[in-house]
Amino acid sequence: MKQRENKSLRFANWVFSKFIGQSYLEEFLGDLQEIHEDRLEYKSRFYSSFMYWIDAFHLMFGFSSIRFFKTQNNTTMLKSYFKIAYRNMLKYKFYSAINVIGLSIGISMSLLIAVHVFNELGYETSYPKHKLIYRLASTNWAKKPPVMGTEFKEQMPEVKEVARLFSFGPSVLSHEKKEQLIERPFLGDPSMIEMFDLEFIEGTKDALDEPSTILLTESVANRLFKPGEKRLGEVVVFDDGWRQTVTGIIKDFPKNTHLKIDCISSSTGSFIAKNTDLSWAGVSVFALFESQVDVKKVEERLMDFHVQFYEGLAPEEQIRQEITESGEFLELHPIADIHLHSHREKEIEANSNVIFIYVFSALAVFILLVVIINFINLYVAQTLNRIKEIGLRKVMGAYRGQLIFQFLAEAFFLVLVSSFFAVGLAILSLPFYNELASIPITINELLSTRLLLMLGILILIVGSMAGGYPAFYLSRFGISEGLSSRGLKINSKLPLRTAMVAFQFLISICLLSATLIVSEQMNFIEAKDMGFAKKEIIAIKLHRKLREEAILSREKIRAELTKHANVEQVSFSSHLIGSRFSVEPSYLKSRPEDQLSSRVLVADPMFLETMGIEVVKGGLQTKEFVGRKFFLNETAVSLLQRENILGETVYNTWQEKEGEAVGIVKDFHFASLHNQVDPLIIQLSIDDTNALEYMLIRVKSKDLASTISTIEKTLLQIAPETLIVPQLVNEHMDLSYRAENSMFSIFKMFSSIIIGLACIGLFALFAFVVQARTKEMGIRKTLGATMTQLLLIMSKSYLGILVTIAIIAAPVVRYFSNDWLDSFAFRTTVNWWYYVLPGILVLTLAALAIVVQSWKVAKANPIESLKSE
Amino acid sequence: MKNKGLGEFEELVLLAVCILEDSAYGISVKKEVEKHSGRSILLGAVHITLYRLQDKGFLKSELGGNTEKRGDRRKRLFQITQAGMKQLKASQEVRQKMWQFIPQLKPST
Repeated sequence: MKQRENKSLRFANWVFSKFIGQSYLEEFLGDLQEIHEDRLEYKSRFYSSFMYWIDAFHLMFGFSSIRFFKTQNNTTMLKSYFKIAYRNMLKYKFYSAINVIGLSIGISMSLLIAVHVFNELGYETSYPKHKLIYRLASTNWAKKPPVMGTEFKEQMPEVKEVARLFSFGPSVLSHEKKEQLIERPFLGDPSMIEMFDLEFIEGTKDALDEPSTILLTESVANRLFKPGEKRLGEVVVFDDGWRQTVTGIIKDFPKNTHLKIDCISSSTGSFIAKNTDLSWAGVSVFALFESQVDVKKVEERLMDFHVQFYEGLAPEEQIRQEITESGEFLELHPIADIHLHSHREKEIEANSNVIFIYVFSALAVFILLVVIINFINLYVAQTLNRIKEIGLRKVMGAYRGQLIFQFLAEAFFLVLVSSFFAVGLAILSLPFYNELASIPITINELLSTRLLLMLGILILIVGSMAGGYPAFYLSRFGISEGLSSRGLKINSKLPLRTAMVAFQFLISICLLSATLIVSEQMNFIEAKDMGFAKKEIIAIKLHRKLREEAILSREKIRAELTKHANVEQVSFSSHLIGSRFSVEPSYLKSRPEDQLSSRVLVADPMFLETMGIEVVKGGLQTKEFVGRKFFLNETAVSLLQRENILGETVYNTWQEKEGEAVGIVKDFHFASLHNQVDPLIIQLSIDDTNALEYMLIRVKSKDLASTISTIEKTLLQIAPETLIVPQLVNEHMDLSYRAENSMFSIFKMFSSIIIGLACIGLFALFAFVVQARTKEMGIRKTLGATMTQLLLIMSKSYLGILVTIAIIAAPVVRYFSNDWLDSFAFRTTVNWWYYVLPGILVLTLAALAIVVQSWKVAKANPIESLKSE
Repeated sequence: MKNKGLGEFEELVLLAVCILEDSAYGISVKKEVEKHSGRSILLGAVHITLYRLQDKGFLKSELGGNTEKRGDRRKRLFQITQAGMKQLKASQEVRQKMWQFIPQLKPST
């Protein structure tokens, strides 16, 4: 940091010394440094450096040795500059407009992306102690047993506090008559108030010390209570009848945290405090370390801690071996890394991915590069037509410095105008962007100091690059070149410019390919046979009265619902397809030594029929269903390595329930396609209340909306005053691709913008290049060149480059796309033409631009272009 | 530009130079003026004013006194000249005179 600062100051000094006369230099630099040191004592390093620059500039203007600032009577000159700049803008309306519009779009898009990226990178940073908070988890599993948390705090002196969090899924919370569905209720230790520095609007910091107390966030409190109503001390009831006293109202959690908590019930005296099960990994464990602790040293002791934790269950060596074999090692994750880098089972929410950050940053850079290249190309091309003006100005006695200033000022003027538009455009497009993105962006974030500073730097760079070339290159020309009728011979094969165009072209091709491939994979997911009827199953969470009714008589509910013509079948299950089921150990009674750890779903006999899951072997033979029957999926069967599984008795050690394996179901995708299908046991019975978490209703696909409302009405008759939230199973499945989907829509939007901008830029540039060769074409034509020959001559150099680029692009895209596709367990195959087609497409567009422009020139009568000689 | 009067800010700077006696240079003058007037001033403004006052002949200056803090560079120390002192006094007198003519402040007869 210090190094970089000093560099910036050294650079400021260098610039300073160029502008300021020797006689002043020593004292001023001394003063600047002294004041900088002073500022450092009570202001940030950044502010001091910033002010250093400001002061330096101020002094430069005051004491500049450059004649331009000294001359007192250059007002006429300035007026003429403005006049000329304005006239130029009007004269080249089309190009100026393209320039300003293109740059505005580019800058505004990259501003949006920058905000998005800052949001993502800023996850958890709003907690003041976030640098000291770590999550205790293991290689593939984000949650740990509650006892591990308390144990960890006891064993590790470096740990100041441990807070355990448990999310018990969407529930209905009610206060008197008012009911609200709470998406993310949590159970948490009192220590989290201190750890996350929760801000209280009402209540005190010991709010969670008593059992059955609850903290509500402001927004939830506003939904449950009328404004002005007394809130502290009121009793709220969860749908399972759990009554709690409100002891605090806290500010809402920040929007960029993975702990999107609606309310926190106290863990004091709850099952978390009582649970001593060493194998139930069900809570998130956060540890707050003392400051100045070397966490690396703690990590070294994690293995010993882990072994000690299971002490007494087996000899130490055996535990050590089992941990090593399972590959589940304890790890500490800095809380700020979780959102982008953690993709374990049982994460609190589906996390984002650092790849998205890379992709977005790359997009922003690409957009900027494309528009900057356009801007520079066009501006330079435009100024080449102004050689005459330069010559004339010199005749009138203009200094070179003045000319340099003029071109720079004009470029900066254009860039400034564009930036101004860009900020406006970004603000206007916020609503559309927020539709697509997962975290909404506010105007304040868009206008943060950090961003405006970046914008300022950008303006400086683009302005000086675009204005610099004509300013320093063209102002060299003498009067003779400027005023001779030949004008300047413009070399249309400028290597730098060609390279820039080639680069734009490469970006366009890559983006187009990427878009095609991503959409192919997305469609593949949409269309993939999941192994169950995806479209027409409605799931309803059972709670409160509805659950009570179901416990009393699920058959009654089934009968009521199946009366409707559109309802085909009703079933009950412990989990919703698309969420991850719990993992439980089971074994075959005939071979107890073979443990099988598999996912378990508890359901009723109608489940397979309702979900439309294919049975490969066996099945329910009789109409009469007694006891418990187990179905295994193909993966589970192959893991058990048994010839014939049917008729065996399977014992679930956790639930302590057994059942006969009566059938094998085809592997269906009960989790997202990112994962392979895990082994699964479906436990069917008619009276297991574990199955009463969700009701699954299979309906005919026509009149879906009306069917849903009739179902709601029927259920309300059975269980009045319950909140019923029907969801379609396939929509729930889509949640697991939400990150990809939202990213893809943003990606698509940006790629099309980039490609569009690149094309416009090319088109405008060719217009200039071709114009510059008008005379040449005229002469060639008089000497008998044909139309085709003319077109070829003009487009040859560019087309050659473009074709080369198109060929280079294909393998590049192939490499990266394979990487991404491999993150899916089930990926589409990509045809070779996906890599070739975009190249051809973009090539055609570019060729069209060249030919159209050349055509105009080639068609013109040579008399027109040659008569002025 | 050839007026010999004193601008308000020029006057403040001149006064600050007087207060500081032998240690008046860019930064110390800046601090002094900030201290008394309570506004924050850019260093450049102070320097420009100091030099302008020197051009008008109200100040004289010499280089001297380098410190560690300044990267071992010398500072330009300013001192008030006879003419400067006269000018300050003159503008002070003008003010005093005018104050006396404000009706509310006249001793009631």
